[in-house]
Amino acid sequence: MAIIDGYLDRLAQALQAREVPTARLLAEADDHLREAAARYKQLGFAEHHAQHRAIADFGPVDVIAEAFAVASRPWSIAREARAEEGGPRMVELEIVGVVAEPMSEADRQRWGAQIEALADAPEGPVGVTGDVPDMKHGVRLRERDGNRTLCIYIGPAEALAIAIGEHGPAPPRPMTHDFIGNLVRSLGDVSVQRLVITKLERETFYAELEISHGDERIAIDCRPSDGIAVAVRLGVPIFATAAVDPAFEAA
Amino acid sequence: MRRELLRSHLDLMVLAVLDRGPAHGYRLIRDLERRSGGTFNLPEGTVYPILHRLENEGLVASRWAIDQGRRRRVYALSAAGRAALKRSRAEWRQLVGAVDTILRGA
Repeated sequence: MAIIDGYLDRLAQALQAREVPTARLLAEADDHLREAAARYKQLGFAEHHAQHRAIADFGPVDVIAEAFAVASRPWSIAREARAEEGGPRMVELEIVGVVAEPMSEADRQRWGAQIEALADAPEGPVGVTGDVPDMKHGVRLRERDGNRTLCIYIGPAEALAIAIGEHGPAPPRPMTHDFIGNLVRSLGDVSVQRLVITKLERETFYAELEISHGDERIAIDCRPSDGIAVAVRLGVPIFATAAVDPAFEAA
Repeated sequence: MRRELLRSHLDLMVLAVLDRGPAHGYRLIRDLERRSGGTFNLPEGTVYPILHRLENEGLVASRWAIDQGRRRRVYALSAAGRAALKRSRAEWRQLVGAVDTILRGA
């Protein structure tokens, strides 16, 4: 049963990667596959064909492992976030606050180049004057279980949206992120689970807002600033993956 | 049949098959396949997560049993599962009746 054994090993790995308990499922899968293979043999298939067919009917390792990960909900966010030996490590973050700093010379040059490029584009946006703003905005986050912090530079509108989301007062009319929050809340079986800051590439942070819809989990690509502004409105936790680790600053 | 259609009614189908008596996973899947006239075409392994979830929800109970010399997890409907099946069955008939009436008129 070497082919089935190989499949079970891969299934065990896929389940472990998703932090799903494996013992019972593996015992059941083992029993199922052997019985299915035995039936194919009775139908006249050669041993290795019988095993391959049983596996094909059972389904791809990743599909099965994912179905288990979903079924073992409600998943504990704390469990997922906990550093696990060899597993993907995530840290939970809390918002320290929104920051505004004067632009450094390097910032001014980088911004200036971007604004010039925009202003020079033949179909560029109307009203780009080439003025470089004096200030830059960011949001500072701190590890919940530590002292290191992470600063992500964001646009002024998003900085304002995060500050208002954290401290109020509520604007007289719903702003964009209020609207997004209200939209999600109005959808019965949809809930936002968490925001994950996933990676840093060429000075740009990436994030995904994780949403559950019935049995499905969906990750939506977003800017961390938009994701954080929505997360504070919905009261969902914020995490960073290990890929973001180098961007943290010691306290 | 489209998989999403099948998948959204799988809980009900699994409960209905177990209503005929306790079964281990493999037999339940063969039953699903046979009694659906071959319509059941999902990866067979995805039925196990459903069984585990139904058990977490208290609709199904399971235990290890020795069957034909093999140690197997056998699933049975709980009282709550039986009640849920009865309710879902009634809802399903009502829904099918309503959709069917409208489709005939179309």
